[in-house]
Amino acid sequence: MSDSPSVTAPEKVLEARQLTKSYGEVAALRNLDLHVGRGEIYCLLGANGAGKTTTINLFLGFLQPTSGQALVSGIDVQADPTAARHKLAYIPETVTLYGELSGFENLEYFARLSGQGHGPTELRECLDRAGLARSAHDRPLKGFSKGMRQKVGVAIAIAKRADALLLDEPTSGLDPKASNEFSELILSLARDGAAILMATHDLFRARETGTRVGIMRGGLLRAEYAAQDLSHADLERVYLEQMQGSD
Amino acid sequence: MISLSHAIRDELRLLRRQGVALGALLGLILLLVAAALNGAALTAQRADATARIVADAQLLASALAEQAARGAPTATSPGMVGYSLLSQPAVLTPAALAPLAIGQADLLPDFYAVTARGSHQFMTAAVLDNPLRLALGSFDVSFVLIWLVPLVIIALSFDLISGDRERGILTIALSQGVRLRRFVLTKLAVRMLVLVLPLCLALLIAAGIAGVPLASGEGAVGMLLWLLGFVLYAAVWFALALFINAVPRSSDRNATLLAGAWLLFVVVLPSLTNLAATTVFPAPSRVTLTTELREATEAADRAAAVARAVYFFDHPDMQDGDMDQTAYYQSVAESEQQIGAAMAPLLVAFDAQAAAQRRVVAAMQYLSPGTTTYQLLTGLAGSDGRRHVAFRQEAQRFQGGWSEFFSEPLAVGGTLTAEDYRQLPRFSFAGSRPSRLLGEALLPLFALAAMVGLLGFAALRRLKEYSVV
Repeated sequence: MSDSPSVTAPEKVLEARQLTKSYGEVAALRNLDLHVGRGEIYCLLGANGAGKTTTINLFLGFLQPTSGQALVSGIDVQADPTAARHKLAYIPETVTLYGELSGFENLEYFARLSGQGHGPTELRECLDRAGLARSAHDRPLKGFSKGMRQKVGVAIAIAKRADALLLDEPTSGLDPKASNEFSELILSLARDGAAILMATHDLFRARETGTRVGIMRGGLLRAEYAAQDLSHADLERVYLEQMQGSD
Repeated sequence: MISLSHAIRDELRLLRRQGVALGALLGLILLLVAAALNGAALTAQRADATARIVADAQLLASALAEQAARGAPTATSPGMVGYSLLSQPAVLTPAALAPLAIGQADLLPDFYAVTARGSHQFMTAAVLDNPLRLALGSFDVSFVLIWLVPLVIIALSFDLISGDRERGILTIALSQGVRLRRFVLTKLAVRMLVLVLPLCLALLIAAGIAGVPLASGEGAVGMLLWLLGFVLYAAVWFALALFINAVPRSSDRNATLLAGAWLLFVVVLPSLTNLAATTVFPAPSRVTLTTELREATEAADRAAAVARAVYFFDHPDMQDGDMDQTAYYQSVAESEQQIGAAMAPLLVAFDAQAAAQRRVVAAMQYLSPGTTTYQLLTGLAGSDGRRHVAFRQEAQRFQGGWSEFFSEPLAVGGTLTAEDYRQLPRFSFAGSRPSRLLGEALLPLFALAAMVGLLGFAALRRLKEYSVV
């Protein structure tokens, strides 16, 4: 059983203001208003195509919004995506990286891209904190399991010391033990002050780790709850109710 | 922001681990060395052959001089010596960089055996059939650079952006806060360094192996311009790879497009250029050449027969004998003049067609970086035909002087002495001056640089709209 972090984060690190993304007549995201403060974990729930990944890509500046704003630590992502990305860390659903390099070398490579001047010792501490065994640090990544690759991805995020962390289906494909380890890690990062936005299908993990949960369908944020206000069963019930509703 | 040196080091490590670059580079270096040896062997073979011809001619001249000193009739007759016995080889010595690019050198004669007879010997139709031999050239260093280096560049950079995009690495990389342009240009720069620097060094070594006189003015300037041409040509292909990658596509599709570009610029366009030049300005046919020469010779023979009839009419005592040797060779000189006069218009037409073909090639070369670079490299090596044109013109002028040397005493019934043999005209052809090399190279170099600039600019503009998801 995980402990949920205390919610004492008035500063909005991640903020969406009427954020909208359309592809022609198809609205992938409609008028999203959302904010995540320091130490908060916001879990975005929804079926495939609900708009979760679109939201994350808009915060990353990989997509241009049709209207509205995405802000990271007060920086308008559309106006200065590079500056906004310096405040962010991102872990995709599938962490691929360079198979020819070792876990440590991948971390070194991506940490340097972000401009971090960590030495080898600090980088190995990041891998340790991410849960990657020391014996695996210098093995080529192409032999890693999905869970091990994800740990390297987390280490890259840890090394960046970013204000916010964006996670896209992070527990997808992980076994329960790995999933639990990941949740523990995310909680510790939140305790360190990171604002975390996590898109997920995993209702259980969302209830266990989240400060707040939002349910999306058809590009709209349909409902939002404080995680502690719902039991697992309640969350599942309201989620299914939202999924069965009409657009 | 990541320092450039770190970025380069990281990319180098990645490239090394991926293994493609090192293997391809080693292969290219081996091919360069083999090509240099081949080019050197071909050049040396031709040089040895002409050296033997020159030596033989000198021996013959010395022997005739000794005979002339003893008053032997065969050696003192200007007609017999000039029109039958002695020829002076007009030799085109290989340019400094000749072993690196054979070009048209093996199609064109590198010497003319100059006699007192006419200059129709200077016509050759071979070059008019192949004004641009890029598609048919020899295995030399220029072949490796123009044909094979782009294939290695394509192998190194067809997935410059698409590879990382397909594997999901691009989103992680860009989320670190590095700009796409910088990320991509660093990868590109490292690939260029890894390929171009070692190949430039290998080129210098290959040139040394091939016997290029790098210490001479012509050799040093020529080699420098060669290296610059190669670097720009490689840069064109890297810029093209960047341009193709600057739109989100699969790596497979990028590879297909780049392979298609190689086919177009290295095979198809040069062949079309050749076709255009020979179609618009076709060479006089060999049949025409042979027919004209035969008719001119027959006309001259008929005139000579008339002259002999007149001679025997004037010298009835010689009716049953041969013409006086001097009179005979005077009639030969007359015949040769008639043949030369008859062939002169064809020679002019031949030169005009060749010049027109060169103009077509010179204009169309800028459609393809392969053709531009080929013309540049063969031009610097003196094997693109232009040097041969200058050589042939010089040889023709020399032929006029050589002919006069014998026809003047022949006309007045004079004889040759040993001293005359010491005064025999000698042919010399000035080599390429470094300043001329630089002047001729400027436009193609500028064209290549412009191609790099245009492709690079277009690629960077496209990158601004690049969608990573």
